[in-house]
Order: sequence, then C-alpha cells, then structure tokens
Amino acid sequence: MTDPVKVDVWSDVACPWCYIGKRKFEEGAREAGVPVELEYHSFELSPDTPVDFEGSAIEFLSGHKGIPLQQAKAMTDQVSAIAAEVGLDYHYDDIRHTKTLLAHELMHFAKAQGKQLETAEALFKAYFVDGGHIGHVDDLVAIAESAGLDGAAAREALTDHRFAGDVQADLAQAVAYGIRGVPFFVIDGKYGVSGAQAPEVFAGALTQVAAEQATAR
Amino acid sequence: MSDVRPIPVFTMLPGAGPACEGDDCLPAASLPEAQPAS
Repeated sequence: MTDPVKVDVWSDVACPWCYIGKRKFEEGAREAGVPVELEYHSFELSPDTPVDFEGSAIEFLSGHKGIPLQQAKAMTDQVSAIAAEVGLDYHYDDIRHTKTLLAHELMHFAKAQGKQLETAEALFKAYFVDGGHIGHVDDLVAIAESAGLDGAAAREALTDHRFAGDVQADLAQAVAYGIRGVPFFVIDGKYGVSGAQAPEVFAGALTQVAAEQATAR
Repeated sequence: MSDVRPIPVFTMLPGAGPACEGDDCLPAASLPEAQPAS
C-alpha cells in the first residue's frame, strides 16, 4: 500500500483562484492516481475587510481599484469564465464580501473533527456559488452542519475562538515560508507550487514524490 | 511564534498559476486598457 503524499495548501475562502486551484489539484491527483493527504492552512488576504461590508464583491473591487462598476464586472466575468472551465458556477453578483478570519477558525475546528476537506468545499461553495455570508457565527454553523459537523460544537468553538491561535500560527508559518499569494501548495514538504496551476503540474509533482518515497523505502 | 517550523528548502516548480495577493485577485490580462486621449 502506497503511503499518501502530504500536501499542505495555504488558502483563503475569499480567494477565487483557491477554489479553482482546488479543482485543478483534485484533477491532478486523480490523473496521478496517488493517494493524497491534503491539509488546509489559513491565509487572510484582506484582514482589514469589515465583517459587515455593505455591498457586493464587485462594488468592493470597484471602490478599491477606483474603477467603474461596469469595468469591475467585466473583470470578475473573466474569473467566472475560468471557474466555469473547471465546473464552478461563480455568482460574483451575489458574493457577500466579508472578513474571513472566523471562517478560518471553522476550518481548524473541522480539521480537529476530521472534516476539513468537506468544510473547505462547503465554505467555498457558500461564498462563490450560493451567495452565502461566511463572516458570522450563525452562517458558519449552518455551513458546518452542511459539511457533517456538529452545529452546537462548532458554535461553541467559534464563540470561544478556540482555534484563533491555530489560525495565527498558520499565518505566521506563511510569513516564515515567504508565501505572499494563494493558493500555495507545499508537496511533501519539498516542492512548492504557486497559484492555480494546470492539473498536469500537480500530477507530475505527486507522481515524482510518490516515486521518491517508493525508492526511499 | 514558537510552533513555527523552520523554513524548508523548497524546490519551487516552474511557472506560477493565477493567485491572489492582498486584495488583488485578477489576472494581469484582465486589467483595463488605458483609454486613448480624445
């Protein structure tokens, strides 16, 4: 039996390329036929974003870049078109721009419960596809339950900020690794993959690491 | 923080896919073109 290849990925829920990269990585892992142990780590792209930002992601982009709404919409349409190529139905008009720190705490709670991958998928889908809010405890508890987690336990962990320290440790680790953009994949602690690269890149790296592990045994 | 692991010697695979850096999540190709002066 082949040991799984450990892959650490730094990611933010509000990162459109992280969800696209997730799909590309999954396709690459399927192509490689290599068992993978994937672990998500926290990266907060926009720490200054208020939890209750009034307006859509397009309005935020427009204001942030100082461009007309129509232009911002055209830019997000391009990202949505790329998302569609990997089977993701982004609805930028409905995105509820918010601070993602609490969502990261949920990801760590989910990791402790063995449900991190399901939770990552549920958070990305809520944010980019369903127009859900991911900044409040009530919304996050509903997302947790949809991922198979115990809602009451998730609420308690989020309210107590039990995993806030783990989030900060991930953020500090990203700084130590020199990670400036996400998604950022670290395969077997040896190979770094920056951005949502093509599935073949992930497949090639996973195949190589699996071969190296087999040789080392 | 005490639990931060030492910096590993990564071999970065060539190339870079689209990524978010700070608030900037859009591919360079999608940046608006300058309008000609009228």
